[in-house]
Amino acid sequence: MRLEHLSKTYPGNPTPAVDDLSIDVFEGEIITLLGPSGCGKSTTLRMVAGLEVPDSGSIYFGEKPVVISDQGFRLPPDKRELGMVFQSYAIWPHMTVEENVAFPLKSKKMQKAEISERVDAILELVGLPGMQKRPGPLLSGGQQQRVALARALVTEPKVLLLDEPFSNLDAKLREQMRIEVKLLQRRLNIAVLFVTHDQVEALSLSDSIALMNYGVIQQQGEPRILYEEPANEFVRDFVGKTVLFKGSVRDANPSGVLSISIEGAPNCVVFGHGYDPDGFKSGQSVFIGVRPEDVEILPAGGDELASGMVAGVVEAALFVGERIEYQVKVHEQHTMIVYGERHVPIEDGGKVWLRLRPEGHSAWPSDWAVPVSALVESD
Amino acid sequence: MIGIPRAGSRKKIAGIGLPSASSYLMVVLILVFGVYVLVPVLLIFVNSFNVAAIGQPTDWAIDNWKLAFSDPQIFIALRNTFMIFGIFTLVSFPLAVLIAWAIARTKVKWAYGLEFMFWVSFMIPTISVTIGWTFLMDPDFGILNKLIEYLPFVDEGPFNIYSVPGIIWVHLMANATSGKVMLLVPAFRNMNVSLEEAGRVSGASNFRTMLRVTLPLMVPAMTVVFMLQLVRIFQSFETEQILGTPIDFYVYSTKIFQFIRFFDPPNYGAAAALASLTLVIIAIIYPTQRWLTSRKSYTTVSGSFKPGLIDLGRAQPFVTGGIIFMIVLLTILPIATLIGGSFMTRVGFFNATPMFTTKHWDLVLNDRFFIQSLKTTIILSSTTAIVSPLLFSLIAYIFVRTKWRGKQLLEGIFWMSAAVPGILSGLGLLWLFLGFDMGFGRFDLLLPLYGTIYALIMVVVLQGKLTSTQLIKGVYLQMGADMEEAARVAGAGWLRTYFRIWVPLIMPTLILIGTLNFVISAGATGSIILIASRETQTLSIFALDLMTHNTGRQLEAAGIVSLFIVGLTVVVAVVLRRFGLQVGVRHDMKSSKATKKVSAPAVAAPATLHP
Repeated sequence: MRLEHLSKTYPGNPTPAVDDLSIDVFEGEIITLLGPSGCGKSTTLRMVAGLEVPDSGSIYFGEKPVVISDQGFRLPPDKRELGMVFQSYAIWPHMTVEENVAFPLKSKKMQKAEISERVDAILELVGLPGMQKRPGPLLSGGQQQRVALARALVTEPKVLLLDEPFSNLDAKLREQMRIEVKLLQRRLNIAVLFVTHDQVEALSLSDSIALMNYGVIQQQGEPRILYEEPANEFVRDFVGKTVLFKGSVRDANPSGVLSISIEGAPNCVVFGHGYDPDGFKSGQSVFIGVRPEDVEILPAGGDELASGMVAGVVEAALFVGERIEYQVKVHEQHTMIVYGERHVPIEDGGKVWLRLRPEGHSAWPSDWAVPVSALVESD
Repeated sequence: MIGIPRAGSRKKIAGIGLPSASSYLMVVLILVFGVYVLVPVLLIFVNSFNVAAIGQPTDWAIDNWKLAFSDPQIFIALRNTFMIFGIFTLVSFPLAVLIAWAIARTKVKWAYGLEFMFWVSFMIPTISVTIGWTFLMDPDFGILNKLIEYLPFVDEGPFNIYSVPGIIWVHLMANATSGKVMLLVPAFRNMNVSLEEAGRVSGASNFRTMLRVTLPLMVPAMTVVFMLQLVRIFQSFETEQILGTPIDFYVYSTKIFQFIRFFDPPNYGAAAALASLTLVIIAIIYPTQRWLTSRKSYTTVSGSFKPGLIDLGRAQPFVTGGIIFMIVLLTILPIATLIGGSFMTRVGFFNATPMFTTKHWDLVLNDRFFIQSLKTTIILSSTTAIVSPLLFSLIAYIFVRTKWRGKQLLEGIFWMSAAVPGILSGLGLLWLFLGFDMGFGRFDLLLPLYGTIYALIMVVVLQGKLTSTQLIKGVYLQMGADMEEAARVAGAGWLRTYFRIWVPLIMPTLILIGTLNFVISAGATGSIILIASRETQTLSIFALDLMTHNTGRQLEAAGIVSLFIVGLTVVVAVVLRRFGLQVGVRHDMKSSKATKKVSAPAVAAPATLHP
């Protein structure tokens, strides 16, 4: 599946919902469109489904053109032969499970015997054997989703579209369905375009993530790359959490790796990748982006700060189950959230030392590093 | 940037589905409805300057306007129209809001049954209600008056139906109250309860919460209800015709009727001059409607439906009792009176011998014109009941689910048409059917339609277009787009999606629309009275005729005929409801909530709300 230069502006909106977006999805691959609400990811998916008309750009399924805006060519949704799971599942309440799932086959005017055979098979596959006669409204959320999946897959489409399919499920069921969808996708070897605002879902399910904001893809790549080498602040702050330290560049290596000293902790030097197209100069002040798991929190081991440590004071400790989240005031820094092990709790007001992993961090020019995560709403 | 659209390369055509033929369809729809609504009015306007008799060569002059407006009665009639409307609205609106609130938001007993009774009341044709209350409150023989006269020290019963209070009373008892309750209850029911609960938790009493939280939230719904009422200000006809004419009390529609039917020769010109005032009303209604629909007034429906009803405590039996009393007045009393009265030798004469007789029934049942009218009514109303749900569900679909250009204009035309009084569009259509000559050749293509039932069918089918489309619109909006989109993605074409997904989903509403339109056409008077001939008159025209006949009224016969109208509508309502329960079984009660829950995220999809 190929999306080329798709753009879409809703009437009455000054900014485009999707702006010159291109993306390739290969057979057997799960590509996730990730982003905050209103970033254009759902619009993109709906343009693929044929539920929205792009202002410009083209879409191809294999070699088959689906939309070529320049020629005014556009296949209606019913001719695109794809499967889609809606956020609300859209299980038709006036039909039974069987009728819901058989609907796409009947649209194809298939033989009755074959229809019931395929419906039975797909219901078996999604884990709903024997539920054929159950009316739509009498299903639980998880069952509704399975029916929606069965309905989307029953015609054996090459492309499956998933529009936030897990957002209406409770946390436990969500994890379970995530795994089931992944297994199902591997088994059927189909291309999946998946839309979500949940980064955990995106990271765990996808072969590749396209992180979107303001209708533009900010970065596309393997989940690991997005996490470890974010292309910009938005990616850094949207994918995973980041602890920001103020610091200054000690040595700018032409290869891009910088050594940076942390402000207020003269003995602490870390290494990281620099994110400024113009390059960094020695002595320039920067923000250092550190993933929370790369910071270790320890009770202060004395009045003298050990080498390589950053001193701080715990302002509040929040027990969240598998770990404790500390709000730590660090000398000459912002207050920051640091994760600690639950077996060694530290009291409020306790003095602590923070130990940073020596490398693998990121450095950002301090004059444009506004923590975007503060602006991103998650729904 | 690559994404900049090149001019002419693409047009945003449809929402989803229908090909670019949509533009042609829209043009056709706008033309058809535009012509249907506006041409009669324009024809009337132009003809108001024509002093020649109908069917004669034109003779332009302003004599008609002079005549029409030199008659102070015209202004009195206009004033009367506004007065009647003003008073019954002032009474019925707060009353309806209170009743709707009590039914939908409190733990009043039998809430669904009570709500249903207001539907029943709404379905009883105005003409039947009017005749029923005439039986009760006629100053000479009114049954209530007679009964009161049996009391000691009372010489004369206090009620006189032939008066302004009488007319207003009948309006309140016909559908001024029940119509509003009917429309408001669902709105109150769908309100997000937590908002109300927040009011209570913040320390407000039930009453204060209602005033400060519930009612302000209901303002959009109430505005729509008010608008639906306001546009019909000039529609009311039969009540004033029966009760006002004997005391020389005229409103707009009865005045026009008087110019045509009681002037010899009929003064079409003066009627036309008066009728032209409607153009002014349209000029006011249209922008108001545009303004109204441009606001976010639909989003009162919330997905989080949970019935946290208010306990009225000790007041509850009184509220229930009050509502039941209201229902008795609205439905049982007038109908029972009609039945009882039809068997009395003379209505209200308890000392007549014999007091009861079946002779009126014999007379009516053997009347050739009665049988004829019954047939006409059944054909007319059944056709309407079948055609209108299909037609209006498609048009409402266009309003809600497409982005077609021109749909606002079409909806505007619908609102305008509601402002055109039935009597007036009847007059215009009469002209259209009889043919006219505007100086560029004679137009009489539609002459063959004149006096046929087809002309009537056309009029009554289209009569319910505003209410019907508005009701179905609400359902489409509530269902959300997912249901349809899922079907399209599943490979179903537009038609298959419409018949396999939408029709079953909105079946209860379609049946409601069918019933409603059956009732509207069975009770239609003003809109068809000028077009119907003696051979194609309906029961309601027949009853009206019996009530206002110059050679003396035939009260009992009129009562019997109006009972037949009620009977027809009730039978149809019950049959269709049965049918509806069978077809739409699974989402009648239980699953309609499930549907709501399922499609909740899509309900507020702004694209569907705002073109």
